[in-house]
Amino acid sequence: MRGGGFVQIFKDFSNWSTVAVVPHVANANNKISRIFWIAIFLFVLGMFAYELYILIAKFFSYPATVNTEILFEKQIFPVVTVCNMNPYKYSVVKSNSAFSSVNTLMTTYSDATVGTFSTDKWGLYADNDETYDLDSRAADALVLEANLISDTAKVPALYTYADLIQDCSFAGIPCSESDFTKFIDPVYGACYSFNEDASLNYSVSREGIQFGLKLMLTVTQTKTNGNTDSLPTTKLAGARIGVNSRGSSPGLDSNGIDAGVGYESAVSVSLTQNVRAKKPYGTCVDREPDSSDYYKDFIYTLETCFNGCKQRDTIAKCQCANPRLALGSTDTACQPIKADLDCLQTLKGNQTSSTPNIDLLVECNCNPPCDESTYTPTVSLAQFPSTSYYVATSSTAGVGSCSSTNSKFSSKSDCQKWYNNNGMIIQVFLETLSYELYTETAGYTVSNVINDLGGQAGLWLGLSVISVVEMTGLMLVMGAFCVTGGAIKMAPDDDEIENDHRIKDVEDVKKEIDHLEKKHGEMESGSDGEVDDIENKGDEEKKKK
Amino acid sequence: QTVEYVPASINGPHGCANYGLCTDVTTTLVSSTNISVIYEYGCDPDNCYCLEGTTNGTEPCDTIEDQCGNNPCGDPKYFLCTSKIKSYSCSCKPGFTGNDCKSELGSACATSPCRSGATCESVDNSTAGYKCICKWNQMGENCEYDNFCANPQCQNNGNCSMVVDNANWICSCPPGWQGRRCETPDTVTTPPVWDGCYKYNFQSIGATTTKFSDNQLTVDKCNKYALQQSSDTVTMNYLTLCGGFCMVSEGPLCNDTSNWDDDCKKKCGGNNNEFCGVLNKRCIVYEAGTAEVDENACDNSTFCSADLGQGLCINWQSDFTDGYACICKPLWTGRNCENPVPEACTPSPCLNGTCVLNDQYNKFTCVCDDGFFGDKCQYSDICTSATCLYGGTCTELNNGDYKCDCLLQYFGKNCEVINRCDYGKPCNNGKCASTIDGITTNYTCTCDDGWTGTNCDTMIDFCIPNPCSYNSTCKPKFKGYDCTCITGLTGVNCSTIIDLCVPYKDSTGKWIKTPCNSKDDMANCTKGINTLTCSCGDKWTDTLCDLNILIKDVLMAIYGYVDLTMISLLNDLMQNPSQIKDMVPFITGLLTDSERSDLSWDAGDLFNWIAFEDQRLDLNRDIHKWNDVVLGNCFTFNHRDRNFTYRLRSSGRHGGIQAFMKTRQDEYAPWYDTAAINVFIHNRDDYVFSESVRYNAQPNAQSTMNIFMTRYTRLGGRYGKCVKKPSEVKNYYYPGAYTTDGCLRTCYQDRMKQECNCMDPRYPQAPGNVTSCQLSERSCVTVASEAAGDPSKWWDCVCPLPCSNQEYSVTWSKANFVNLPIICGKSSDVSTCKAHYIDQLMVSIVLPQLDFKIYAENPAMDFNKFLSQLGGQLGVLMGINLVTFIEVVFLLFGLFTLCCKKYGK
Repeated sequence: MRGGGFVQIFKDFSNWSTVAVVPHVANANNKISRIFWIAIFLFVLGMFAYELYILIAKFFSYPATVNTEILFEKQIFPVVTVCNMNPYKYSVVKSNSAFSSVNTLMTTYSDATVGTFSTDKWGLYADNDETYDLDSRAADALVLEANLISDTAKVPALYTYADLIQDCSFAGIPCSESDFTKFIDPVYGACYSFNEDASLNYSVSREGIQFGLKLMLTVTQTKTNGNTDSLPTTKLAGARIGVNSRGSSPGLDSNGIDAGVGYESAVSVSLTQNVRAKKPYGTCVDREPDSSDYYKDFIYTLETCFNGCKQRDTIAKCQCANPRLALGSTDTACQPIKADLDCLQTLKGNQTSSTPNIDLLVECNCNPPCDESTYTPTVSLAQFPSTSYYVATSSTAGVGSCSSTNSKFSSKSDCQKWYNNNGMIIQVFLETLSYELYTETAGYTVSNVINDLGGQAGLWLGLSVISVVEMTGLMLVMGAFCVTGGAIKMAPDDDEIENDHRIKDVEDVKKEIDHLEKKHGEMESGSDGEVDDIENKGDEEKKKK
Repeated sequence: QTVEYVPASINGPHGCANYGLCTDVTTTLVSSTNISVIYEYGCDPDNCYCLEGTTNGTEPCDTIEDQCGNNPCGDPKYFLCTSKIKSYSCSCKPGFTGNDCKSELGSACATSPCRSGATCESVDNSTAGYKCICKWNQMGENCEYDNFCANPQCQNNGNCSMVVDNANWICSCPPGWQGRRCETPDTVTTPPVWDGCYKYNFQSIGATTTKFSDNQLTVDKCNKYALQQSSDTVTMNYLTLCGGFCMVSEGPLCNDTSNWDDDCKKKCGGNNNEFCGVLNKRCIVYEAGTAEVDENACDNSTFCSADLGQGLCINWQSDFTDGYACICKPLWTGRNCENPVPEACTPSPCLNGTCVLNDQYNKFTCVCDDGFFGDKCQYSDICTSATCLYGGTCTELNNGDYKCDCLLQYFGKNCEVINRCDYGKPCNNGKCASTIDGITTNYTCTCDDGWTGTNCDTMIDFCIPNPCSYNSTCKPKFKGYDCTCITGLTGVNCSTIIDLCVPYKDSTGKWIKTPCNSKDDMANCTKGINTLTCSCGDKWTDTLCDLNILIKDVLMAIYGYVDLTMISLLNDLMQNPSQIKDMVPFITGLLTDSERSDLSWDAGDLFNWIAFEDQRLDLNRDIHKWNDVVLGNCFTFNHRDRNFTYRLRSSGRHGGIQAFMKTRQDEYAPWYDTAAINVFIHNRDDYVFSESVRYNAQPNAQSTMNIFMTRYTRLGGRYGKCVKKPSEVKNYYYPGAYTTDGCLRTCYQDRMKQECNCMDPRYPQAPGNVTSCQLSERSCVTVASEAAGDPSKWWDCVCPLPCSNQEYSVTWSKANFVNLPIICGKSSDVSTCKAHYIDQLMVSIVLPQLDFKIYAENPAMDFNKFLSQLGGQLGVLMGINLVTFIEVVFLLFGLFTLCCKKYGK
């Protein structure tokens, strides 16, 4: 009886189920038809399973989509950092006792360039055949030597604000030293950053060169008395310019802009913002772990991560840190001796070697930042000063204007010539107020999965939410049947059906039809029709119940 | 001691046959004794001068020319002709005789009875009978008489006849004529006599009288008319002339003479010397002339002894010789033939011969006996074989003397004189004077002007010494010379140098001072023989100062010599100097890669050092050198052909490339206007063209270039058209990966190959035997390129985008070197060191950030997404699923079955 009950339940369910093919299987007239419908059911079920697999695989691959937006709005002016390409005043280096080691290095290097070598602690004599190697070792030695001198002791040789910046204006409004933040760079000495302090609120509401920052700089490679004031290792006369967003590292050693003397360098910048997705859709991180974060004072960038990784590699191989990069609290800087310089040299690119040194991309595990602002500069040049310009400046600490009252020069043309050899104008402005915002978002979300799943299920099986409810109902019915032991009747018994007057009426009609068909000789077709009608009526009665 | 000359040959006079002469007689001593010296003279055969009519045969002058070619003797059947020197002799053939040799021996004509000129014919082959056929002016039985009537003698139809024993002739005149030849009329007329001038009256004169009119009226005509009108009974005695009318009458017609002087003197129309009067006014009256018959004087038979038979009387005009003339018989003479004349042979005048009488003329002819000659045979024979020498012909004269008809070149009475100057032309160009020196004749030549030598056969050479200047060619001529001047000289003696430094007008009509100044105004021209020397200014060179120094430098740099075919092209170039950089590839493109590479820079020429990741690179190992036609030698870091690939491992300056280089401006070609290092940044598989994007690095500065990479990937197949490999397009000539630029240039080269039969040398060539365009073909390339336009729009040029490529955008900045580099501060010569230092530059290639953009084409809808959306839409809108389609199929099948059953019923 129990088995019969389950069969009955399934039969009833299949008659009203909304799942495709199931009613056809239950109501098949013969065995061949039933097998056919079962095969169809299996096929569509298999296709649905395959499509479901594809959808799940696609979802768990976490594809990302980059949306590009072009925004037009008021922007905060970027941080502009300027440094003299000559880090220290040579006249002070030669006279100040604190720079005696640097002076010795400069003298030894000068002699080496003309072929006069002597045994020195930096090992300049070892590169007597190659100019590049000599220059490279001398530059590294200078960084190491300068690192030994404290910031306080360096002050006399560093360029002050008055030495470097003769004029400053932003959007036509004069600015002052208080708008700049000074820091000491291991390569370039004193550097000044405009709009770095959070308390400043310089912003731009209109684009163009009229609404940017204008600086007149003097690098003083030659003093007014004609003496050269550049270090022997300095090859370029000009300023190093960095443009970056607030809070970011200037990265002057790697990514600065060269601005030469005798020119006005117009630097137009355009902003690009990147917003990246985190796991699992992206790999961005906000910061490095504290244990490996060497640039805690700056916003995280790929460059800071790579620099930290390189510093760790340097410490591991040379047992000392490179002062060009940030030092940890427990790290010791390399000493300006031949051994350390040789070790630093071996860390430079040697890809053709059988044992190449560190590959930052492969070995550092650096991830891009989740939020990044990048300024792309475009430089154009003009001559400075023009032949008729008398170089007006409000600064009184520097050389002054090229007027007849200036006693530092014998004539106006001499003054203009000095500015042509030692001065420049820097103009930094926003090219346009519009900027591009790239936002990385999830490309395939749960909503997409549900949409695709609904489509596939609907196409292959005709499944819908109703079908799920039906399945649930079926489970409840089967559960109830098991609990009650089959006492619940789902349908009337055969005896009760026979006693029903409506059934009797149908049987009477059936007899009459059979009788008529006999007369016409169409017995078989008439029987088929009757059977169908009976079944249909039975279904209706069941539904009504 | 006597000297005797003896001829060496029987031929005279000099030994040549047929009396030939010798131009150079030789004498040979034969013997010499105390008494006499004997010389034998002769002639060398080569020196024989043949007389006219003789030619050389087996021996010189031994052949006499044929003179009988045209049968001068007559009919060859009867005559036998023998040739002689310039003449011939005639004789009768055997069996014939007579003057014409036509008479056979033994016949009647053998004795020549007929007169000379007549033809004798035998009669019936008898020995006695003959007949003489006379010539037209002969008559008589033996034609012995001359026929005087053979020529017309008589006039006015007179009849000529021989009379008085055929010794004379006479004309029988018709009536009205008289005279010996009937030339005189037989009447005597008197002229009209002028009578007077009278008034004309038509009523009495013109109406009734006999008259005729004539516009050319004369008195004689009127007189003749009167004679015609006269008859035996009526005689017209008066002539009345009124204008053009002639009126004749027996008596006078008018006698009115009033006022006649003013009107009568009108001249006749036919004769101005006569007067005819004026019609209607005046008439001239003449008395008519008369005509009388002249009497015949021969009616008297006593005249001319006609009655005696001694002559004949001829009627003549009465006023001439008494009206008659006499023709006497041969033996009679006198006015009336009354005097007898004896016969000519009586007595006989022939002294030594027989007298023959001519009856017609009563003349005699003497037939001399042998040994005598002359008219009367009074002279003995003189001519013998020795009389005339050397072939001369002896003729006896009537006066008893003789005459020798000498052959040519012989003179003298006996033909003994030879004039040496008459044969052989010893003096060709001069006057010859003959002298006699022994047996041999000699001569002296007086030469004409311009000739010299013994025989005046040598023309004086006026070219020795050479009168022409400057070694010009002297051609001698008669009495002078001609100088053929070498080019650049003129004058009779070529002594004048033609000045080539003269002004002239050029093709545009502008006057040019000298040929040297066509381009260079500062040039100086110096003349020379067929040349000129130009001293050029400082900007021009070459022979005529028409070659710009710059052009010469260019040609020397390119070819090593001045190529004349390129000068005009380069002159045009000077008007537009910017073209020269475009033209150089057409010249260097002809060189091989190795030759071009040698012309250009080496790595050591340009690089002081180059470093990557702060590590110095090896120039030979890490820098790949290759050559481009336009760019020259290029040096590529990380080239695709190198075994090792450098990877970018860190960002920033220390992770990029730095190079310290030299521009070497001191070795620049003169047509380059800027100095820089061109930097190309590209994917390693891309090929660099001369037009690829580049960045200039300036001397005396460091140029920093920041590069940003963008990668593009495209979908192929049904999503679009892209190319993965060069083999997917029709032609691709360049190494490396496929690029759109390379494909377009390949199309361009194919077009150039089609249009100009060569390829543009500014791009690499297709493999095979395709030639590069030369400089002369540059115009074809330019024209074809402009006509063709943009290759991307050609229908046969299909150049899709590559399926994957990378692009690099660059931003740059620049800073100058310091004014006093440390190496120059230590140098002894600061200015030279600085000048050398500012020629150098530094290039820095930096990747500021390691991230880059990828633009990837993704299908907007794939198959799975399509199924998902299709299922969703069908399910939402119609509740359809896959099984629904099967159910519909079953429904259709059922309906079909039902219809079949119904149809079956």
